[in-house]
Amino acid sequence: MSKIIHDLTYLRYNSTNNKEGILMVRVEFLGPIQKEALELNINNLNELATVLQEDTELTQWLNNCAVAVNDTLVSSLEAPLKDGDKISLLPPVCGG
Amino acid sequence: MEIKSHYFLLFAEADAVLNLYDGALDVPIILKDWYEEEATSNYGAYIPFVGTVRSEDGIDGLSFDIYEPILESWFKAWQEKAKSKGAVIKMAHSRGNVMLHESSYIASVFSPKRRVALEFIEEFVEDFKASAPIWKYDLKDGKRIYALERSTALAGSGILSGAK
Repeated sequence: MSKIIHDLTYLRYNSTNNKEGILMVRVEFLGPIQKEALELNINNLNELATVLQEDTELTQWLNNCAVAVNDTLVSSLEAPLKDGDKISLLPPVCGG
Repeated sequence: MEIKSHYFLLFAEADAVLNLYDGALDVPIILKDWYEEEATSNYGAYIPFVGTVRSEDGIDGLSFDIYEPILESWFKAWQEKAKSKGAVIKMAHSRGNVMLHESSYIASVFSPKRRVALEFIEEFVEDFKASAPIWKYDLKDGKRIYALERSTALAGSGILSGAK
């Protein structure tokens, strides 16, 4: 199930997709999350949550990660996404 | 914007600076540079906080990852807050490995009178620990181990976990 959703959602970001009106966003995993960035065809953060919850690599991170869209932290999943948005997952921090 | 060979100046506005260095901070040089930058600015108080890596739990040192875009916007917001009180904040932090008894973090506040600087340094450092997008790792037995138990989840964390 996980693989099917991933395969359906995971598309390469290219100009052909843009011309057809398909919305593509880039998802980056910061700090200690050892995972390559994804490029996904999703319309909002609720859809992102659905995709990432199917990813067993992220099971330990979703409970404690904050989310930024274009480098601004967000507190709701409702904000719409637009083509080319950058989404970042930020795990717990400890500077100093 | 100024770039020197040994560090990258991430943010500079008026007298504010946010410097990121690869490896340990050169504490005497940084404190001296900041002092000299403001020596004739008519600030009555200069209060630095220097964070040093301590020997505990058998670590050999610490290591840091930084996400610079959000660190920069976080620092800029603090700089505006300081500016409204007539103060200036300067901050330096390490990227990568910092070994025992070396420094990874310096924050300083300059203000006309001591009370503002004393209050700001405490507020700033506390918010830094809770909000700055920096990740810490223990260096131990040749491994780099994420310090999850000493880390703080950012505001809004967990929103991706419950949606269906």
